Amino acid sequence: MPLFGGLYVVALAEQAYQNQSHHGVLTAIDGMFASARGDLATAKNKFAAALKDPLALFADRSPGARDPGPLHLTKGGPHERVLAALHHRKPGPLDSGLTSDGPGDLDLGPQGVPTLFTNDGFPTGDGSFPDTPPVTFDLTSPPVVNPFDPDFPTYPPGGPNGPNPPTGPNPPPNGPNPPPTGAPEPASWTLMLFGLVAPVAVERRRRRTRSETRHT
Amino acid sequence: MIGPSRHLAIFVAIAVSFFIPEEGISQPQSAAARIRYTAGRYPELILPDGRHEVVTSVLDIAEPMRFGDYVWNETGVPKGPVWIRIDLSHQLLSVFRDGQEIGSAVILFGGDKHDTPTGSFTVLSKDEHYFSHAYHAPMPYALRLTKDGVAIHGSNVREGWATHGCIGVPMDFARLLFTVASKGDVVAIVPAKTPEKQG
Repeated sequence: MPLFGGLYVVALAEQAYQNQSHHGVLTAIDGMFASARGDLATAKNKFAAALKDPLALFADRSPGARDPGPLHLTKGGPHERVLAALHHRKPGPLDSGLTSDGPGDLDLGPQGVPTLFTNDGFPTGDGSFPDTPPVTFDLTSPPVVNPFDPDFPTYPPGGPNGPNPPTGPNPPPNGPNPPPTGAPEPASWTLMLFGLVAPVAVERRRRRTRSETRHT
Repeated sequence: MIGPSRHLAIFVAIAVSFFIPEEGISQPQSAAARIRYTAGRYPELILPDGRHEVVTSVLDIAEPMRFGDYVWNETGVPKGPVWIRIDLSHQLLSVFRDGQEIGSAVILFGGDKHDTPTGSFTVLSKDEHYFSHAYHAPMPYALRLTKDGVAIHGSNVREGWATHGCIGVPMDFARLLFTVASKGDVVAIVPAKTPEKQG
C-alpha cells in the first residue's frame, strides 16, 4: 500500500511537471504567434496608412530631418576677383616729418616730381635730415689713420678737434637693400643636391661592402 | 630591407590613392519593390502651386536610406510626363513618371544663409557638364531651376553637409535623373512645413 501511494505521488508529480512544461511550451508558441500577429497588425496598419497617405512612406524611408548645428558647405565660398593694379587707398602720412604739406600728400616739385628725395637720395632743403645738426666735413684737418685699412684714411667731421659727429641717421649710400629673392641660389641648390646624393652614395657603399663581406 | 620594387609599389599605391575621386561613392539600394494603389483610389499630391498630381504607385523602400543612397526602378513604367518632388523636411527627392515613382534619393540642400527656394519650378535648362564660375566648382548633370543658378546636380551627398542653395543628389542618381528629365518638367520643392494633402 505505501508502495502504491508512493507511485501515485510520483505519477502526480510527473504529470504536474509535464503539464507545466506543456504549458510553458504553449505559452512560448502563443507568444510567438502573438508577436507575429503584432507584427502583421503593424505591417497592415502601416500599409493601410501608406495607402491612405503616401507621404507616410516618404517619412519611413527618410534619414530624418537635418540636425541643427553647423554644416559644411560643399563648395568653397564665392571667389573674389582681385585687380592687382587697383588701389583705393591714399598714401598715409609720412612718419619722418620730412617735406610734406599735409597728411598723405607728397610735396611735388615744379615738374610734378616728388622732391622728398633728390637724385642722390639725400633730403631736400639744406641737405640735412630734420632734427639733426648739419653735417660738415673738414677736409683740411689731417686725416686719421684707419686702423682697419691704412691705405684709406678717414676724415672725422670737423677735424680731430671738431664737434662731435651727429647722431642722426646716416643716409643710405646706395639706396635700400634689394629684397631677397624667393628662388634658391646656386649654393642652396648645391646643398640640396648634395643632401640627396650623399645618403644614396652612403647606402650604395654600405650595400656593396655588405655583399662583398657576404661573398668572401 | 624593403626592395626597390616594393618601394615602387608603395609609391604607386599612394599616388593612385590621391587620384581616387571622392565623388561617385553613392550606393544604389537593391531594386525596390513597388506598392501599387487600387484603381479608383489613387491618392493625389497637391503641389505648392495648387496643382494635383495623381500617384498610382510608389517604391517600397523598407528601411531608411542613408546619405548617398538612392533607389531607381523604372521597370514596367511607361513613358509619360515626369515631375520631381523634393521634400526638404525629409531630405528626399522623388521622381514620378506617368504617375509612378521611379526613383528616390537622399539630398543635400542649402545651408544657413543659403536657403533653397521652395515652391513649384520648371526645368529651365539642362547641362551635363556645367561648371559654376561663381563657386569655381563642377556641377555635373545640372537641371537648372531658377535664373539665379539654383539647380539639381550631382554632388557628394554626405551627412552634415549643405549646398549654397542647390539640390545635391548622388552622382549616379543625377545621371539617371538627367536622362529622364526634360526641359519644362515640373519640380516641386516642399518646405519643412508641407502644405500638401492627399486626396
